[in-house]
Amino acid sequence: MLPGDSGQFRRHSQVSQRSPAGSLPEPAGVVLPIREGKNMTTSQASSPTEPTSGRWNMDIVIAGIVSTVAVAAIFFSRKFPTTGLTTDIGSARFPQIYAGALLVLCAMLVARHVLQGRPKPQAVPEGQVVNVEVRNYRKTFFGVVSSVICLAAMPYLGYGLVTASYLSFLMWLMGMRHKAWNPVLAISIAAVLYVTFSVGLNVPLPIGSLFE
Amino acid sequence: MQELNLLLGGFAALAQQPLALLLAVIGVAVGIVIGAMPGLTATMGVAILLPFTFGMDPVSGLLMISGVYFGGVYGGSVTAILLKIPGTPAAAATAMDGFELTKKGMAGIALGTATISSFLGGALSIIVLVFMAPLLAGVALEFSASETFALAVFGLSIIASISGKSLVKGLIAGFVGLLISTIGLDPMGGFPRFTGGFVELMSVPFIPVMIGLFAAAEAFKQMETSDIVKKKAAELGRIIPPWSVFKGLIFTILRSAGLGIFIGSIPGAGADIAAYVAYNEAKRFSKTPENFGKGELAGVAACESGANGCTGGAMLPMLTLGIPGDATTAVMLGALTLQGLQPGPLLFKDHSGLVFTLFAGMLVCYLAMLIVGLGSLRFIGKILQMPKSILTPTILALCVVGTYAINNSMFDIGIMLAAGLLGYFMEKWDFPPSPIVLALIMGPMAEANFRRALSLSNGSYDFLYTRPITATFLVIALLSLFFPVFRRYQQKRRLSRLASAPAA
Repeated sequence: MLPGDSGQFRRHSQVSQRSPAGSLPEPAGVVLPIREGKNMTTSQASSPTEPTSGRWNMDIVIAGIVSTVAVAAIFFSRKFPTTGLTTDIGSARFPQIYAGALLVLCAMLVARHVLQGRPKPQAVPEGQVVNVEVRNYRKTFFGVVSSVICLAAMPYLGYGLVTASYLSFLMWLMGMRHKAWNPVLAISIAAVLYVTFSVGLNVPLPIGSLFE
Repeated sequence: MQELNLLLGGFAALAQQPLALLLAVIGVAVGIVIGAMPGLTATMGVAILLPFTFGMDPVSGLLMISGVYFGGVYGGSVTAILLKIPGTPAAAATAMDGFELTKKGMAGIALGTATISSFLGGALSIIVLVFMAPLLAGVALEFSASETFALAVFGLSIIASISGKSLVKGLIAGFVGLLISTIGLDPMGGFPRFTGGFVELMSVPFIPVMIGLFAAAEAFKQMETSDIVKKKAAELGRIIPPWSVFKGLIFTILRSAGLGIFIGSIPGAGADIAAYVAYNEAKRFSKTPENFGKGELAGVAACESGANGCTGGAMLPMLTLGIPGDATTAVMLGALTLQGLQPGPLLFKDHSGLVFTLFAGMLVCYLAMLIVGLGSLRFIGKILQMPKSILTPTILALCVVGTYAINNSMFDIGIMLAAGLLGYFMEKWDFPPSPIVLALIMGPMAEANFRRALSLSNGSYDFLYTRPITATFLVIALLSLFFPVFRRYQQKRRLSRLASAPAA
């Protein structure tokens, strides 16, 4: 079974009330492409407030991560040497100011979460049409992993082999699984990029240490 | 008059560079396709094509990038009118009346009006840029370190306007960007800061960061969703509007272009705001405001003229002061530095010939947009059928190869991927990526000039309030930082009043 195609999608449902078209200033009634998915009634849509509460928890996690980075920046910047000029504030001052501001802003983010608490679930009238987003995070995960593998393999295997394989895998991941067209397209796109950059722009693309 | 002579000289220089003209046309065509593709923005197009300009001469490279920018802003209207899917945020305003016209069987006329209005709005904005930019650059030439620091602070205050849903999150993104901008050599002492021993980090590679944040992050996001349901584009019919109809739109187009130029020149305000303001004004001035939203041609003309009028306006502070007005001009600023050109007043002093050749080229870009736009409307629907399963991998491969091409460095690809992942998660949790890029550009400028100004004033902080231009910029920065806070507070109050009204 292909990753992400088994139908075991992590369902991420989002309720959006349809606004009447033609009202200003919001682009109401315009169907944005990212809001794809199928129209369902509220009775069919599951747990409409789930992503909202998840986002609130993530705000605290992000504030924690950013605060850790800020504290680390303050700690490491203490070791920066001074310029020796009496009129200079030193090389550590600006990173410390930025890190301090980040700590304050992260505290504000957390405080907002604590003070406001979890937003109440939106009451949607029974039977109203809602948009349900079906998102597949596995595809993104495998896309990122394959990009990292591509980065690691390119110095050894070279541009041609790695880029063609990378393109072929990504196309397969996104649904282009034709046995003939997938490799043909992957090799063609890699070749066009090679000609553009290597021949047209004189960029020496990596040959690969295994083939040198 | 001197500007006019320089512009004519620019046209003469451009006539001797057919390759630059060809690349400008290619840029416009690519920009239209990118703008028309839902999910792909002009910023992303400019970021993807940035590495292509590396091996080109400055005029060719910058004209191609400008072409992508102009084409990208216009391209969004095509799908907005035909399918009610705005290719760009600005085109959401166009969709309101554009799609209604399509439903009435006037898709061709709507598209033709959008194309001509885009051309007129954009071309007018470039003409204003030609005459205004040298004046502004002349004033900026008098700036010393303290004024430049205040200018950088003003540039940074734009973060408040581009923060999106949450000001706190926008500011966090901005300060993360500022912290990242301190990685590398200290501007005064030359000590390495936060480099971790990596020579590659001696200066922040901000072009890979931009490609990652705007292009790779979007590609990762596109992977989450399947192909959008394809709609069949309507039959176009007649494209060029009859003169009897068009002459009634001229005043709307000129007014919207003026609004677009003004809004574009305010750092932080982009084409989407210009399109909505222009639409609103067109409705206000109209004798038949009740027709707006039901298929009014003036609505389409106003939105497109306003959005494209923004392009020249946005380039005004970017070229003359080195302050990018929005994300796209921030990436364009990267294109200039990639060509060894430092945006700012000295650009007009040291490279005036090049700058006016560029201005002439930009006018040619808009002419190309008019011709390519009108000529390709019947075919563009077919291009839009390109499946995402081919488009997204191609974008990612372009990001990888393009980033490598800048410095022939695998390390840069790593930076790009890290930035892409960061951008993906940022967007997921409503942290806007644009403040990071703005901070990466403005951060080093602010720090270096503040410390230089402090040294020049013998360690006294007097320069912050004794120098009038510095003080003015700092006050404007404070105002532009707190204005969105005030506006949000007002909106909240209005909403709570509306919510309590039915209860009462």
